[in-house]
Parts: sequence; C-alpha cells; structure tokens
Amino acid sequence: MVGKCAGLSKNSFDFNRLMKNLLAYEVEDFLNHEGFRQWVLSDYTVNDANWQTWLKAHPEKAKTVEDAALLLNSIEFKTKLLPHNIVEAEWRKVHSTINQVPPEKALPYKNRFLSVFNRKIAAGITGLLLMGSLLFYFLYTQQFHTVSTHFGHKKEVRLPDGSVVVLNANSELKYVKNWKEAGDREVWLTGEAYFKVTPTPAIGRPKFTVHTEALNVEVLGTQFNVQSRTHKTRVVLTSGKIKIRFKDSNQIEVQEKQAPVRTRFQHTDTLVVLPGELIESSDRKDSYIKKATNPELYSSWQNDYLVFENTPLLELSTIINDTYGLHVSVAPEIAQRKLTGKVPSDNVKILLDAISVIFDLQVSVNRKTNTINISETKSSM
Amino acid sequence: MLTPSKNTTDDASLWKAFQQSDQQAFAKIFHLYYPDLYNYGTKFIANEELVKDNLQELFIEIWAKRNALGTVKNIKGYLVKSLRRRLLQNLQKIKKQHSLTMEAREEQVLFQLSSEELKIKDEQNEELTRKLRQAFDRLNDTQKEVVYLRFFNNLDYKEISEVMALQYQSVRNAMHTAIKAFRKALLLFVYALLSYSKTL
Repeated sequence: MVGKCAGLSKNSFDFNRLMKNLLAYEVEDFLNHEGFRQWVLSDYTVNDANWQTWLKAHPEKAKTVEDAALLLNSIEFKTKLLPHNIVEAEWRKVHSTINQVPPEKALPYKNRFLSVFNRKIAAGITGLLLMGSLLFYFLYTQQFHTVSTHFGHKKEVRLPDGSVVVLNANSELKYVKNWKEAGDREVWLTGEAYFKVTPTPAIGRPKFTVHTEALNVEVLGTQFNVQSRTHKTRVVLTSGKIKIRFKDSNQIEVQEKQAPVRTRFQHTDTLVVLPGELIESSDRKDSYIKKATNPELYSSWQNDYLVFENTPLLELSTIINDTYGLHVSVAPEIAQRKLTGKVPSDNVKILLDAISVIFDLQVSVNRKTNTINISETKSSM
Repeated sequence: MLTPSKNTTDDASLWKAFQQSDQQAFAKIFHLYYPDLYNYGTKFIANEELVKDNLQELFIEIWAKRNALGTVKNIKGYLVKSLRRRLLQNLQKIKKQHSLTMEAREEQVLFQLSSEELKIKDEQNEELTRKLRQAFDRLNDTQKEVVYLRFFNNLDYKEISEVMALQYQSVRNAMHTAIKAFRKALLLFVYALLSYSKTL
C-alpha cells in the first residue's frame, strides 16, 4: 500500500506519530485521547498490538495507563434520555417561528432602496449629510416585521421580548424589527389576537402597547384579547391590568357588575380595565361599553372552539365572516335568537355541522356564491 | 461502548447547508444536539422551562443570523458555548432580581448528578456508587463542568476551553483534580483492577 492516507478514517490514528507525545501523557490526557478510549472501550481489541508494544517499551507509563483504563472501565456516565415528544414539541415551536419571519431574501429590495438612496445623498448635497443620516436612521428603525393570517388560519408569534401573540384568522400584526433595550415594546394590530405579554422582557422596557385603529392598549405583563375589525373594536382582559388610550375622546357606558345592572356614563380618553372586564365599541359613534364578562368567551378561538353565552345569531355570522371569509345570511325571523354553548371551530365545516346540531338550525352552503344560509329547521316529523 | 467519533467534515458541510437556508439541515442540527444541550442546560440552571426558552431563542436566533455567522467546524461545541453564555446572562438577571431568596440559590447549584447518571459500571454495590458521587459532589463548579462536558457531551479539552473561556491548561488541571478524586473513590473497586491486569 503506497500513497497518501487521505482515505484513512480520522479514527485510526497513526501510532508512531503519537508515540513521542504519549510519553508526556498524564491520566487526563489518555482519557482525552480518542485512540486510547477506543482501545480500552473496545475491550482492548482496536489497535491492541500497537498499544501492547508501546507499553512494553515504556513500563514507566504502565501505572498511568492502568489508572486511565480503570476510570474508563469502571465509571459509567449515562446521559438522561430526553423524551422524543419534548424534542418534537420544541422543534415545532422553532419551526413555526422561523417560518413566520419573512426570509432574509425578501429584504434586498428595501436594502437596495436604502443604499441607492444613501448614494444619492452622498453624491449630492453634502451639506445635507446630517439630515440624510437622520433620514436613514428613521427608515432603518421603521422597518417592520409583518405577520398576517389568511381566512381560516391561526398563527402563534413569539416577539423579540419573549411575549407570545396568537393571531386569529384574517388578521395582521406589525412590529419594528429591531427592538431596543431602552425602547417601548409596541405592536400594531388589525383583526384579532390574544396577547400573553411577558412581565420580564428579554429586551425592551416594561411598557407594552398594542396599537389599533381606534385605541391603544397599554400593559405591563398580562393576558388579553384584542379585536379590531372594521365593524367592531373589543378588548377583553384575562389577567393583569391594562390601560386603554382612545384615539379620540369617547363616551363610555359603564355597566356595573352588581345586579340589577346600573349604567353610568363617563367621558374620557383613557380607561383602566381589570381582569374579567370587556370594553367594546357600541353601535353609536365614539361610544364604548365596559362590562363584566367571562374572558374565556373571547379567547377560546385559540384552542379551536368557540364559546357562546347569549350570543345573538347575527354575531355568529360576523365571526364566520371575519374568520373564514364566508358570507352568512341569517333568516330574519331567527336573527335575534341567542346561542349558548360550546362548538368546535377546527375548520368551517366542523363549525357549521356543530352549529346545526347543537343549536338545531338548518345550515346550507351555496358553493357558487360562497354563502351560508342559516334558517330554522323544517320539522321533519 | 464506543463513543461516536466526531466527524468534522460532516459538521462543516451540515453547517454550510444550514447557512444556505436549508431547513432540513437546520432540523437535523436541532434534533442531533437538542437533547444534549437540554441536559447540559438543566445541569447549569435547575429550571427546565428557562432552559427550554433559552434553547428556543438560541435556535431561532442562529436561523435568523445564519448568513452572518462564520464557518463552524464543531457545531455542538458552538451551540454549547452559545447556550452557556445565554444561561450565564439569565443567572445574573435572576441573582439581581432576588439576590437572597431560596429559589435563586437552588437554581445555582450546578451539575447535580443522579445515581442513574454517574455510577460504577456493571456493579450492584450501592456503596461504591455513593462514594463515587460523593467524590464528584466535592469537586468545585469548574471541575464538575469540565467532567460533564468531557464525559457526557464528549467535547475534548480544546473544545471545553473554548466553551468555558478557560486556558487549555486550566481545563487539564480541572480534569486532573477530578481524576484524582475519582481514583480515590475507586480504590475499593478491586474487581476492575483485576480484570484489567488479566488483559495485559
């Protein structure tokens, strides 16, 4: 056999080359030596002849080798096995997160725009250099991540500070790409999302703000649901404490918890909301209602079911329209019927089947117009 | 049992594929190293959720920064090092937050090994295993971590010195002390000595 040992596996070590070094070896060096470990752990078969020859030539190393072999042979270091489902669950989280973030490849357009922009400035009016860099800074900090969902899909988003947002169907969440240690945590929402805001942010200041078209929700670490659709804005608090800051001054109709329900009005542009409270836009313009509720009713969509408690059928049709993009027409005679119960919402078919069974309604789908008709069941008996 | 040999060419090409946005390569890296990283992490901070969170952030971050990262010849060493840095930062945060509370102190007990993890091979003698673990417990944190990284994570001294930001010689010295302690505990273990002499 002539030639190079390029094909030689890394594990079969060149004994002669190592001979010199081995003489200076202590126990810890032998333990760190792959060839030695193989020899001992293979029950003295791998390269045994070489080792025996070397040992005979260097009897002074016998004690050291003996000690190293004793340690390797008699101590068992056994790594605890991690259940496969844990690894898989963690992988799914990572996998879904990296697939929400737009791939870096999508960015060059913006970057190119910036560099061309900057080159123009450099080549142009040098006196405006300061202004140019300010503008660059402004554009840079205004780069947003946008996460959006289609009809019938949900997404879980992990924000840079460690907070988690579950984005409901047909919704969009925006946030600045580079969160700063000294910056407020801010996101912009259209549609519906459930927020689990971490009170100990990995980055950013404690204050966390959700901006919607009509109002801002300010929090310090809590869980709540925000809905900001064209026809309705609604915030429901599960735990913690939040402050609502309306874009305009509004009349708030506060419905007291105690029965009989008393109503008082206040005019304000900020409002503190406590757990179990709901605040939603009313039919009148610039007017909101604040009342006690069961928060689960408004967050159950995350877990693939919907909870109704005296919910008008008309509102159900709005939910289906917002979530699945299907138009629902409800027969006028049952439009005000109230629903109470829990229905699965994994997909629109299951939801419609469940509605028809649980609430005893006739649900028919017109495939051509993508319209769902809900009417009273014709008594067949 | 033979320790699986490290194949640096495999690591290098796997890393390269990962850097070229190959999600399969990323998945492979995750599945290959997650269990060891998790075990190491929970030995470093006794808070499983915190370790899971940190690992998630670590993997999400390396994916996000994959283009900016350099070549990595030993992926495991690189990941252990990154995880360790994160956990240290967390540990400092925890210390600041509740400097004197019990929970914080409990989380700081490093590298506690169970009798499942560290024991005398093929030996029913509980007393021997207990002696061995006592010897391990008496080591200082650095020595424990060196032993852990060497024997549980199969990193060599050079890799350990990079992970722990120590001199090569310090790693070797830590191991030397640990070995002396182990050997003392093993003096009772005559059976192994005999079986070894027979083979010579």
